[in-house]
Amino acid sequence: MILRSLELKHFGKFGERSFDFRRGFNLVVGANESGKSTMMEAVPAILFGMRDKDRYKPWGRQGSCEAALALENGGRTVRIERELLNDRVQLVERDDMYQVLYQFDGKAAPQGRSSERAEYLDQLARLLAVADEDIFRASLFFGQGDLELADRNGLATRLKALLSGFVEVDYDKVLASLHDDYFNITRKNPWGKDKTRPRQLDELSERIEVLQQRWFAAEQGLKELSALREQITELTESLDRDREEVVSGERYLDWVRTQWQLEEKEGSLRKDFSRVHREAGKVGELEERRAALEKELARTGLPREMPEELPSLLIEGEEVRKEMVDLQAEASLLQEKIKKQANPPWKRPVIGTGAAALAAGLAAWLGGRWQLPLLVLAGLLPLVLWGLHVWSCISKGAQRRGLEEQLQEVENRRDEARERRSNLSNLLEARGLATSPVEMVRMQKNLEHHLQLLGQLKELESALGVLDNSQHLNEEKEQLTRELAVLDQRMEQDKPLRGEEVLSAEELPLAEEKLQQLKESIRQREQQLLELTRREAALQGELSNLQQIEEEGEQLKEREAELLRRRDALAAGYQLLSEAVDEFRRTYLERFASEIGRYLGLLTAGRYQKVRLGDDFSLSLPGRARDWREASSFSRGTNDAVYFAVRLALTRQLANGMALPLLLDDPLVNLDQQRLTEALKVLERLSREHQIILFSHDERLLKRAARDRWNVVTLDDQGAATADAQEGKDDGKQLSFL
Amino acid sequence: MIRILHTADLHLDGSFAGLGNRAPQRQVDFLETFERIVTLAIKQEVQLLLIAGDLFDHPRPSQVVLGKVQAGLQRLAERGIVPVLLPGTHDSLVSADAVYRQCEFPGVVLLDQPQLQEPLALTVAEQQLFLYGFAYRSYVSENALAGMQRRNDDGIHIGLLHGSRQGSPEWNYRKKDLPFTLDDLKRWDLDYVALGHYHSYEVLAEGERIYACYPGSPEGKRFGENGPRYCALVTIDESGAAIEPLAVNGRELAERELDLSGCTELDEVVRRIAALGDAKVLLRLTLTGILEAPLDLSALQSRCEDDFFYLELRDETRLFDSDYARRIETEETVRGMFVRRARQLMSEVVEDERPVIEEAFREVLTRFRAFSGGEQ
Repeated sequence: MILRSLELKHFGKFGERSFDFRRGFNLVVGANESGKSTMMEAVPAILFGMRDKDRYKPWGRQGSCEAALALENGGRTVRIERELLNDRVQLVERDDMYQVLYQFDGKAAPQGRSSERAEYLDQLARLLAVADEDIFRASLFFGQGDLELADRNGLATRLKALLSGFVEVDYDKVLASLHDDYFNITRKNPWGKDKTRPRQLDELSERIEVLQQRWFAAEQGLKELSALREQITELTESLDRDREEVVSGERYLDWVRTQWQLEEKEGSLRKDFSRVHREAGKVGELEERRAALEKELARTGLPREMPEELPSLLIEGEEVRKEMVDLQAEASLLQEKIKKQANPPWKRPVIGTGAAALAAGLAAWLGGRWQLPLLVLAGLLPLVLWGLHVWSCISKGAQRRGLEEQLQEVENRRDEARERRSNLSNLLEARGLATSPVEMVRMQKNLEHHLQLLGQLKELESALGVLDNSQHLNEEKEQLTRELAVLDQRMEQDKPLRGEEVLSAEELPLAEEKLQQLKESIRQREQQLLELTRREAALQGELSNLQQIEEEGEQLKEREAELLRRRDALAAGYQLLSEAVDEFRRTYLERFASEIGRYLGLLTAGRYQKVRLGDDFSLSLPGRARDWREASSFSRGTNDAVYFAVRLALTRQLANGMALPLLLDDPLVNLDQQRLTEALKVLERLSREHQIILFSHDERLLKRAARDRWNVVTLDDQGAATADAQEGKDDGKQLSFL
Repeated sequence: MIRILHTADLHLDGSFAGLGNRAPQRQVDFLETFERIVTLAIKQEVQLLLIAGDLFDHPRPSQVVLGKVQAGLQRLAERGIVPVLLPGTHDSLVSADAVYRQCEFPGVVLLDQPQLQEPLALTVAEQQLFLYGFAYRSYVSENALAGMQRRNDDGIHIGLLHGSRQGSPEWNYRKKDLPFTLDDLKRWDLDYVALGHYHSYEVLAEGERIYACYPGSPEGKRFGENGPRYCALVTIDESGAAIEPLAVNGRELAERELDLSGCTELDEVVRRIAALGDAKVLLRLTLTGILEAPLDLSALQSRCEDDFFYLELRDETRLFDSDYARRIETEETVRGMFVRRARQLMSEVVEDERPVIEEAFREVLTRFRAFSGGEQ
């Protein structure tokens, strides 16, 4: 980039002047006060405006104060025109075909804050790489005085910022953009703390997780469902079976109960039957007996209906007879007694006597001691015996007489009785009854019997009266039999197929209890079934299609893979870029120092080739003792060279390879001849890359200029530009890059 | 002699979340394809329409879709064409509110038994037909394949099976529900087996004899089901089965590559992509080649996507090996430093990780370009 021309209009001491410059070395020569500095100051004035607007106001004149410059870079030209009093700036960029590439017309005050100014400065930065006046003056604008980099107006800080991050403000944006996009995808932070909100990838991973769980759940659910269904089928079957059993059980118990009832009924019927039967039997019996009795009754010879007196008659007859019998008996008895009172047989005393005689004889024969007692006895005995016999004959005879008397009495009575009897039989005859005593006796006998019979008959009759008559009973019996038959049939019919026997009374409660238990268990199982069915329904509701889950899962996984890749790429990019930035930042000082060193080497003809730059921009040079010493401890000339080198290096860095024009205001004023020559050599070398515009009063340089084909602008007192005398001659040799 | 239209895997009422705002239209496309199949069955005067599984994408399709299906199938039934439905893996019968359990399909034969005891006998066009098919449910359909054996010699025996053939190219990409082999097909000795589950058209034959066929999905659901999609028009007579594929798809899916080597301007790339434009196409375009300037993919997407029904761009361009990168490498700037570091990392890292570095490279340089206003 070169400064092609400078136009001034009522700027400082200049009226309307324009100056042209060329590539390479340009010399502006003029005496002091000829306007060199003014001219040089015009450049930053145009670019950045003037804070002190009075400084270059036209002398003795009101009105505008304008200046313009034209830059050239490759085929492009940039013309910047500024009205210095109101800071109106026009910037036009054209390409090599003179087409307008960019145009700006606005206000850009030196300390303004407007967006117009910001725009203007952006363009300035783009075109010239420098948009900050201080930096401008620290780099390509080699004004009077030393350059101290130490923190004047925070210059050092700004320089540092620039050097480490200049032009490449972009990379911050890039890093930020990478950062944002990265955290758009995920919240995990490999460089620090994780973010709080979940991002795309996190949500996706979560969703995948959820899907997986759903898949497993669905699988489980399927298994559970089929197990459940099996359970349900089993349960239903068992319930059906048991219900059947309950039904049949109940039926059975009903049957049992009915059987019981029937049995009872049968029992009662049978009882009735037997009762009836018995009754009938009884009745029959009774009737038979009655018949028999009647027959017998008939046989008694007594009329059925007995006349009243008969019994009494018969009784009487009986009595009489009895009496007679008694009497007879008595009589006989008496007779017997009489007989008994017969004299006792003779025999006994006879015998006794005989015996006594015998005994006496025996005694006499035997003689002896016993003779006497025995004789005595023999004599006594017949006496006794005969005495007794007599006595008893007497007594008996008396008794006999008494008894005979009695007997007589009895006979009398018997006669009475006989009479009575005959009366009775008359009476009986009158009644048409048999009168023969046999008959009478028979009747008498039968009377009781008859009475008995009658009595019995009466009993019978009464009994019969109580009981049903036999026909009735038979009817009843028949009915009962029928009923029994029916009952039997029913009992037969209702017999369970299993042919079980009827339970007994003790067994029934057990069976009922069992049935109750079964029912209870059925109820419980039905409850269970209900729960299972509910669970089945719930499961099916939850059961999503496995297939769908899998597909969705696949798609999500694909997307996840994409996001992961992107995330990794962003992370890698961010990482690499950050590292690059860090490295760059770390090394810029070194690089800058080496740049400075390079220039310094050039400027000191190799004497000093290295510099060290502290973090605060303090400079040190290698001392004799191989240590580093502050630059200020070196000579003035060296210092000048150092700061010159710093500016050059700075310019280089700022322009990022673009070679900016260097404006030097008499920097060689302190140099001796040798150093001057060296410096000029350096400058010439520099001029191959950078356009040099040297402002000097030293006319000795004119010689050099002529020799080396420099472009020379001479300022005379009036500020008139004198064209280079040698211009024409040098045209051919000058580098003209248009 | 019997004519059958055989299709499967329609996946109606699927969600197309990946297609963004094109999803609703795509769902309409699928319904239209179904209608097209019904019309085709009528026009071709077939006796049966076999849908061998996955008619619906999930067992609870929406009322709209269900209504259309019922209406369409009823139209066929009214014309004497018997639709035969087989539940598949997506629209299985497992849950109690599955569509095949809850809804009526009048005039349709639904093979919903988990095990095949006896084939379903039908009389169609005065011919005796036997249909072999079962609704697969795990844990209940153990050994159900054995039921596919031909029972007797009379009539025409047709099987329907929604399963995975071992040895098929899709074997590794899909779930291996109900696996079977070609030998199984041969053993069953049916006149024709209507298959479903795999989404690519494939005829299983040995020598002259055709055993079965996967008609594939009649409308492509995902990339991979590219190009024209078919139904199989099957003619079965004494000499065997003959198949003719009929194209029924509404739109096509395509996957292509575009080499952008040498392009530096977005406009040029846009022009090249627009040249491929087609409103009936869903295109997955992979961009390859070595670019000479970083490419803003989102800008490209928004400029090109209206030329297609749906456009998916995949960036596999390489910037790393470009001259552009090499120029930057020499700069004494952060950017240059970045490129130098990237190059070093690229040489150190394993093969698998190179694409990540490449993408990182592109991301960073694209942004540099964007933030510096498009200049180099």
